[in-house]
Amino acid sequence: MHTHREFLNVLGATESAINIIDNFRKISSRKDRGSVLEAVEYLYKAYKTRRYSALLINTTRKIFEKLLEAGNPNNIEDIARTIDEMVERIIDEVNQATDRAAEIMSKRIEDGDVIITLSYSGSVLKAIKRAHDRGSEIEVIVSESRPIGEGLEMAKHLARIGVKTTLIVDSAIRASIERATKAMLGAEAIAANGAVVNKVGSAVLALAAKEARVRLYIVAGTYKILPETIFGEMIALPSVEEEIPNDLKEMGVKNITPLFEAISPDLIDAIATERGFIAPEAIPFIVREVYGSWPPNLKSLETMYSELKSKLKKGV
Amino acid sequence: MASSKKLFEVPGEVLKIAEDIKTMRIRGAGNIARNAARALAIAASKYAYREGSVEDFIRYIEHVGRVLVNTRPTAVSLPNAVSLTLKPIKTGRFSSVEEAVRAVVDAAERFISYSKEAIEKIAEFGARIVEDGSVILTHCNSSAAASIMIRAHESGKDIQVIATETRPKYQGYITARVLASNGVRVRMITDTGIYTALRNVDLVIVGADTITSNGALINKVGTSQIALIAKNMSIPFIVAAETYKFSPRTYFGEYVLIEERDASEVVEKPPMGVRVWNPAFDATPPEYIDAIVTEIGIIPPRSASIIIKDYLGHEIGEAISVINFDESEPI
Repeated sequence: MHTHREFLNVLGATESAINIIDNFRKISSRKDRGSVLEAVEYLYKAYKTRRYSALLINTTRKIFEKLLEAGNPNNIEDIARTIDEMVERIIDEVNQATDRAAEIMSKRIEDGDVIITLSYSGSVLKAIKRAHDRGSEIEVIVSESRPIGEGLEMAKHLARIGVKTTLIVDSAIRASIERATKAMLGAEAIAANGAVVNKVGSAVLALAAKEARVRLYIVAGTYKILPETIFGEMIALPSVEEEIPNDLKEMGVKNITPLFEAISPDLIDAIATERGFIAPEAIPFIVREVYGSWPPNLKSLETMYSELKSKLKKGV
Repeated sequence: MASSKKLFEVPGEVLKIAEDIKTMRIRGAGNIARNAARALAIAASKYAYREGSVEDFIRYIEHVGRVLVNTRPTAVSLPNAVSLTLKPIKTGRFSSVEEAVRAVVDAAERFISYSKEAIEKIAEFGARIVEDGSVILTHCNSSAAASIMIRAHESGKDIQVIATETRPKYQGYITARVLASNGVRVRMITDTGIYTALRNVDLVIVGADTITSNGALINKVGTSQIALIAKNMSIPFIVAAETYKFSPRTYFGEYVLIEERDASEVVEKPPMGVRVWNPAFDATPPEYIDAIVTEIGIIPPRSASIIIKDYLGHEIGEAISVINFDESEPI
């Protein structure tokens, strides 16, 4: 169980993961053995407690792979430099991928569109901003997205860039959808079968969109695909506990809601990725492109972590 | 004769009830209806011109009725309660104001006790369709829906209730409080949690603000998306509604006006440039509803018109045709 506070930073999935990766680099910046080990441990722990964040998991894998194959364990400065370069490159790649995915998505946004969305997604925000900058008249309906309520943050960002923005309570999603022409969401993770894991309420929005024949698009770089799911690995869905009045607590009542939920692929019209605009069921094609084969050849992160630790300690 | 202005002076106590309905200090369709009837009884009792004409009293009490009805637009229980309470003075003949006052007070009392008995009946019928071991999801706060869950629990069925918090005003807390204090196991979820929660739910029970003549349910916003998901997952969706929540006006083709409330209920200070849309209710289509539990019996939603025609027709239907709530009396 996570407390509310842990998730209070109202950042999108990508931004949260990037923050962790950046912290990882900062920890290693003393460039001595202790700090590099500490940084690796930090990253591994962050992954362990966030087994829903595809970007974090994929990035951790990339970093561990690189550190395992490159660098002399005796030359810790060399390893630290590798970390610096890698983190910088990864952040660049992620930003470029998000930009490209947003660019592709924005081509489907038409003048006069009313887009309904939920939670805060940097990728959705970028797609809308592009269409808006191009001169398309767009209105966005944002659901407040409790628990946490990142929808309010999303609404603020949209209003700031000059997009006509309407905030609704989460209960008003179905009531609002008849006014919407498109539905758009980001992703926390994309599973092997094309199911998209995103903020709780996303499945409500997806089903309401389907019912109203409003198309649902996901904007996400391919770094959100979680290849482990090909082998049955489940995406963790942590819950958060909301504050409730004291008298209710005393009677043993709790307000516990999962933070994420899966949207079934049949409710999704397309996923806009940096590699193209694809059906959710076409995820295996993307996996083959990214990892060179389908199924991908993956080493478990647990194994890589213990190998990496012994490699880093060897120099002692 | 008293001046028109004086004549229409509504007692402070009655205005307070009207204000409380408007600001939702008095809330819940059944509760609003009972309070409206009570307000009319108070207004009648406090009428000062006992020596005056019966016509003046009727104009006065209808004015009070309009003040009450105009507080909130969506729940039909409010105009129905006013109509049922004022029906005797519209249909009867009175030789004195005293008599007419008595008729209003009696009708109000009859309505209030009928309304309470209706909940009892709904609890009894509804509890029979709740199976032992059920997990029930409910939304917002409804005394009729809660009565079913409490009765099921009291009859020895092991049930668990998932209550949505029901933004923006968190009426889910009231539901949780009522159920938990009656010994029912309750847990709460945010309104976004309905899809995931419904995967482990056996039955949905909600109340009603209004039932239209073709069987649609007008209830707290969010109800219709629960119904949609429940339909998708083949989970029975049950509505608890007293007959005075059925809308005779829709029988004559009228739409139900969905009340839109202030933005400040959602966010204290909306960020610059952000508009807030805050509808209080939404409409659930009849095809998503499995049954409506009324005090008369359990009916399929599509036959809602039988309630309007056979049980309300002679009562409310006629009363509604004689009282025009929209017309404001010049004072």
